[in-house]
Amino acid sequence: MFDKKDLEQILDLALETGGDFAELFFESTSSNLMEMTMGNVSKANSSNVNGVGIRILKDTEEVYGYTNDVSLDNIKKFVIKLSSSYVGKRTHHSKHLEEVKYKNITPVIKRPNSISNEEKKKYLLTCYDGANSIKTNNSKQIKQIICTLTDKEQNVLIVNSDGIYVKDTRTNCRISLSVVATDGTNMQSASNNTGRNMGFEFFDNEDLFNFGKEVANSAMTMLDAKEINGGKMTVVVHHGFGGVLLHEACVHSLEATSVAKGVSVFCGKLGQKIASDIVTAVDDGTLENYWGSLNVDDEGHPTKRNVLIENGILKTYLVDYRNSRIMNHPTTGSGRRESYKYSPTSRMTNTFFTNGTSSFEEIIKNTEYGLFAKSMGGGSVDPSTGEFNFAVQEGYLIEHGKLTTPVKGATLVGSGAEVLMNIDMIANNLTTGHGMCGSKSGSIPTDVGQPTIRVQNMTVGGRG
Amino acid sequence: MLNYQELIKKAKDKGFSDLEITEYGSETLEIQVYQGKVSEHTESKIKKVSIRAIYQNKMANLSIEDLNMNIDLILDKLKENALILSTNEQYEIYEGSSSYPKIKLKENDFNKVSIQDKIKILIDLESKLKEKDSRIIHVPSLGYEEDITTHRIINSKNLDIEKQGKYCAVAMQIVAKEDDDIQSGYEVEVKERFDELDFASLIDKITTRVLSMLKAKPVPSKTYPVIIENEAMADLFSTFISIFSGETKIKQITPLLNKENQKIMSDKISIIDDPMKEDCIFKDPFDDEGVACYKKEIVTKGVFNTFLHNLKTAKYFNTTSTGNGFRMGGAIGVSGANTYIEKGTKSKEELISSLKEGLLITELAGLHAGVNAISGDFSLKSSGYYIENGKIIRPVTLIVAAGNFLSMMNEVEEVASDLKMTLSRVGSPSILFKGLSISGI
Repeated sequence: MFDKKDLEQILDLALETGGDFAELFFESTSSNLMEMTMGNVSKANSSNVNGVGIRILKDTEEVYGYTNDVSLDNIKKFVIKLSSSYVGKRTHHSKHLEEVKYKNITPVIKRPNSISNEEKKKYLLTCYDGANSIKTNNSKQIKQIICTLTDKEQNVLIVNSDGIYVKDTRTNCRISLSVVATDGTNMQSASNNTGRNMGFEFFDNEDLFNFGKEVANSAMTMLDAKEINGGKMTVVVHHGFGGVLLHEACVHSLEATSVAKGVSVFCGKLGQKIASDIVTAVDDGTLENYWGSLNVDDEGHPTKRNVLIENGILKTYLVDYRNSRIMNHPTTGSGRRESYKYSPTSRMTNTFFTNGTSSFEEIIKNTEYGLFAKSMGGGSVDPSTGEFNFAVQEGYLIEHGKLTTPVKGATLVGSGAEVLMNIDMIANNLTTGHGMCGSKSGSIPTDVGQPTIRVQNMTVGGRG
Repeated sequence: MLNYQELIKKAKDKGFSDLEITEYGSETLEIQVYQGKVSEHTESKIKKVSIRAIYQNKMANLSIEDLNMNIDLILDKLKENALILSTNEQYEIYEGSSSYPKIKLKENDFNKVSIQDKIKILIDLESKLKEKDSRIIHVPSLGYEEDITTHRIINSKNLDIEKQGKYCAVAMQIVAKEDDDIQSGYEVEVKERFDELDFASLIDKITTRVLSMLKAKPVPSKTYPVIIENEAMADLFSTFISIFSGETKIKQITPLLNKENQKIMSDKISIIDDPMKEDCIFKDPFDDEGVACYKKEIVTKGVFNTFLHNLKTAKYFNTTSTGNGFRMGGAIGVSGANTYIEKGTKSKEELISSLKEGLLITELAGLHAGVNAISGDFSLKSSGYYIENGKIIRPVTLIVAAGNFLSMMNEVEEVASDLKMTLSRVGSPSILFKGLSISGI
């Protein structure tokens, strides 16, 4: 690695043609994946990602470059090539680098490198045993159980011409499980995952056996599911990963990536009512060891707790450094990227609706007819229209205030703005689920979450 | 820098039976313009390697970007990963095919137009899009990309082969508004040479499409005869391609188990995998295991001929690799390379005019979530047009099309002649299905 003098020199060189901000993002990441198929280890792969991303800004313009040849000579050559995109005279010099201090909110006890493959295998086996423990019979059986353990340690050094010098280590450990059940003719799959930005001590405190059992139960239950009749109805979305609705349908449209370009439905709505009065939504990157938490974002700024919507009123957008120049809005510690191969932009961390006042039981009891989406699949949204669609992985009908038949093939369709206004009940059982969010600056870990919510008048697609 | 011959030699010394190195090189340029200015400009140069090695009959994988990594560390990691594997799969490092098809690359013209001139072309394109119609209110993204790649395989069985490729692409998104209705659309064109990009026809295509979608509304829920347009059909098809993979056969999670030589689809459907397909920009003379690629029919007139195999899945079923061993996230998996549904004879317009009532679906959203590749079920947000008495009447949106891929492929009324290959190397013509369940209002 280079000393501060070398780095200051490179940053200063980058500003020679009139750039007013330069940044270097060094990364060294090692990651491992172990996959277990029906109790046997079927994959054990490792990789490292190692390189530098170079960014030069001039007002709101940007030029970005990346390479995995991190020799001083090569970086200098690359910086000269990139800075030649600007034609002008020097206006700025790089400032003296000062190390940024922060409180470590992602402490790690058991680093992934210290865990042997044999130990990793044990975690997967517990998960497999859980899934394999559920009762089957001649007509309904478990066909496939695949669990995957991924761990990643990303070490970054971020320096910029404003004098920021900051190092951080991100440790992401996660187990994913997918189970396929069959009744001879139909096959149904269910999946779930659990992960944190912490060491392997996380798995020691998780009930992996029960985690496996629940996923297998879900797949078996869905074998009995009937096709749902589509149409407009009341939808109750369960807590945890149900928050994908908020993530996809609303908060992607609050990211500067779409707001700065004026394509979001929430443009110009700060201080206005965009959701029903009972709705408060938060993006909080500071929760200790959460999957989407970070000490500093990928631009070297400490993360924050950002209240996005408070009692229905829009309070802030999520803004990275470059978009803060375009939007004239303060940064929110939201500049993120998958790796040095991406220029950072505004992204989410841990995003959720806060607790309401109803209980889960009250919500079901007060619903005459509707769909209970117990677990959600993925979804997508068009930020310019706010239109979204989500798959329901495990669903049940609600009839006369009771959960009745399991239903399959349901898709939730609508627009984010509409859904926010149509939430009429929120439970007090907030939990989060752990996803990988793909967007302009790559795939990053984010938590999505919510208590159980009820939405009126949603379009449900189905085949019944 | 990593010395490949030394790595191979040391691996043998440490008890590995075989080792293979795949080196990937790429040089890219990406430019995005927004409101008359460059919004993004990214250049990159990467050289990375993937290594796989067999130790005690188990294959381990490692990909590295730090090419100064110590050889002993590399081999220790590989050994550790190999030793934990507990499946009974047979692994093989390939000595090479007797011959390989040749790729004829066109001369590279990327540098004949400077970056500054490319920027000018894009900015000009943006203003032309906006001038085209007053209802076009935004061009949220408009970009150009070029990529030059090299791909070399070297192994302990004396294989040393290399292939090269290049492409350039223009992609754009526009948003149109009429009264309170907003519609957006996305188009991309990929070519091997810069001078092959046809900017004018791309402008026509995207603006016609998006403007015609304005004021789209749902249709009543029921089962309609449906034409799925070529690109949307290719997107849908691509999510189900894994049903033909030898890997899903091993894992017994394909609906095609024991269906070889049986009729699985309408006799109007043939499916082909042709990695060297003449008019495709992406061609593969060999797969990621060094096996020579060739053209094969997966489905012939509705009859399922063969799963696709890599060396491992082929060995498992006592057959030969079909040259479809491609790397997916670190390890070699099985995937198609230019896999497409064979075209028919009628035009898309003839299909439309044959319908008394029906839908033309031009876009399917949420493909990564709304499909179940194992059961074949899908439920997807769709948009397109309502057809009555053989004519397109009005645009349709916010509907959900649901069905089962295999059942649907048995209910084919007609296959059009407009085969289109997409960026993901999957292709389809437009297809008319007898009935598809639609949820709307």
